[in-house]
Amino acid sequence: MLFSVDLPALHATADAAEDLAGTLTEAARVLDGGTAELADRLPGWGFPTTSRDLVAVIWLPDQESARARLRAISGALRDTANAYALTDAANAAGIGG
Amino acid sequence: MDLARLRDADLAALADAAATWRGFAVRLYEVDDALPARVIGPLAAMTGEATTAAQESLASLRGLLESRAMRAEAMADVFEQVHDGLTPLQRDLRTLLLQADAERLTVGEDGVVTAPEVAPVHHEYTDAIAGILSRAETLEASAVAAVTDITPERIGVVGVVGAHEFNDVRDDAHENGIALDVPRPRDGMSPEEARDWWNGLGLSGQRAFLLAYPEEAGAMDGLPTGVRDEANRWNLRRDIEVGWDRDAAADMLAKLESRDHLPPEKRAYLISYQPPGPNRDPDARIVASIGDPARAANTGIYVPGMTTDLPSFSAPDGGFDRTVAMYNATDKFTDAETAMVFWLGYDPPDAPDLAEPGHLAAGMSDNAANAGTPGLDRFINTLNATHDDSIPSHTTVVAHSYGSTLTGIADSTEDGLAVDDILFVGSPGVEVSDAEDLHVGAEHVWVEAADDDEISYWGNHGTDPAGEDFGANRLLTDTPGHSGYWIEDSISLNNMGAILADHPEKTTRTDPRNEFLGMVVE
Repeated sequence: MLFSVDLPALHATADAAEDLAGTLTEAARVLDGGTAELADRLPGWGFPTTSRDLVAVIWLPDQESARARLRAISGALRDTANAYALTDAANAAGIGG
Repeated sequence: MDLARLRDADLAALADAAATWRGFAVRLYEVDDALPARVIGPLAAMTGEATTAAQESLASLRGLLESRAMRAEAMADVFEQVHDGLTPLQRDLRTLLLQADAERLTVGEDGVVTAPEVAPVHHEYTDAIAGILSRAETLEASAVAAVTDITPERIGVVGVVGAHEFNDVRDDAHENGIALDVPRPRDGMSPEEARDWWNGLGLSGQRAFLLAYPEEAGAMDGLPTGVRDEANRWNLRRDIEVGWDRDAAADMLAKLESRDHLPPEKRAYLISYQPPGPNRDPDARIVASIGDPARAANTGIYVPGMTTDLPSFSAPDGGFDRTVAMYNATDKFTDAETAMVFWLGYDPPDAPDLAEPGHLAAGMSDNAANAGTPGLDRFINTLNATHDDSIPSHTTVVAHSYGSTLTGIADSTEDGLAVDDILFVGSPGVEVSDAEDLHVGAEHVWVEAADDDEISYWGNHGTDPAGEDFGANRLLTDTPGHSGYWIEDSISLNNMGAILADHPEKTTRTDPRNEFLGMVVE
């Protein structure tokens, strides 16, 4: 091997980051649903509506930012793993190195 | 607030909303908890610019998750409080309406009660209903204010890294202690009581307390090792931002983080941290461990000597490296879980100033050792009290230089130390003349003293523990000087490992010294 890289570990870490991003996605979905339900069940009340509005414009985008960070890290790890795998393959075929 | 809205409201929806927010907070805490082991730790094993950037991004993400989770909890509290406030009001209103109906009174949608046969307006009922509706309206208005106030943007921390964000969150938590419902411990709890209190908090309560009171959590005997480590690392990060010895604090954090990618039983834990004062007066207090003492079958407690401080902890071959060396040496002799603790719970004398007459005075005095003994005794008692009962426990103190003086005093006074073995390394004396005077018993007293270790000959704190008269078990050493005992693969270090692993039969012994060589430091 040209590089000494633990490819399974790279993939596992990428999977973990993606998995945790998924947990945040699901959490945001439940929150969104819960606040919408509250507003529906208490029509005419001020704070359920306020809560729903704030979830839509602040809490959910905020969560999206957290998810985006995890996905960016996951993507970068996968790109790295793929690059190493390609380099190894090329090296094995006598193309690179 | 109009009558129909309160009368007909589905208030159970508020309880459900509280549960939704609480669940959201728990998910955020779960992700926050999972990041070190699943992503940050593995990344620590990789190098490169991109990895560093990812690490920074993840550190910031953890702060983000924690602050959001705490606010989500606050939202849950608001909905619970409104539910609890409105429910009795709605019940009272409905009761009034039933009573009015029974009396054949007419209640208008505006809350005005009339009794056409008696009087145009029934003031008693009308006023009661108006009072209920007014209280409900106040509750609703305060809920709107709270829901708006708790939003993340109010604290402006999106994407901000480090202590400033944390401090904002903590200060905010302090100010809103009641609304956030941050649990508080009782005063004067024993370590066992503190452990039970912690276990009863549940995940969200634990996280709220940890985030709101990291200094308290970091110092609370009885809390899990990992929790104290997390709290104390926050405290350390804050010290890196605002403390008196920021570079040394940063070096220490780097040392601890160098083991974050390892499995939990091999990681470094910061069990206690008290930052140094200006000009290192007083020195930092540091208790750090490789491995978790609460789960280890063999636990060593390294008590260092003079001049040990925050910078020397991270220096090459300093406190951290020695602790790791002893951990590794122990691990060679056993498959059981090991923990090696660096205990700087006292303020050792500083380096002597050779230009000053009487420069050795501090090292000659027992003052620092005497002041430190209660802390060592308490720390060991706490370890024993909170150790997992299902795992056997063997505990050894490895005391170096002036640390051996402290340890000797601690084990020869009152009921001694609750340990199985004591190993004195490079000792200038332990303030007793006979190993039998130590509670641990002479057969469990071990000594390493290199032939060219000048300090081990001083005898300024009593009889030479390596001498014949003392009656301890002397172990062979093959390392030079006063600070060489931790050289990798040396007999000196292997002997320490065997004692720490409770395998004294695997040590290499030597005869006690039979003369005082009288070496003097000029």
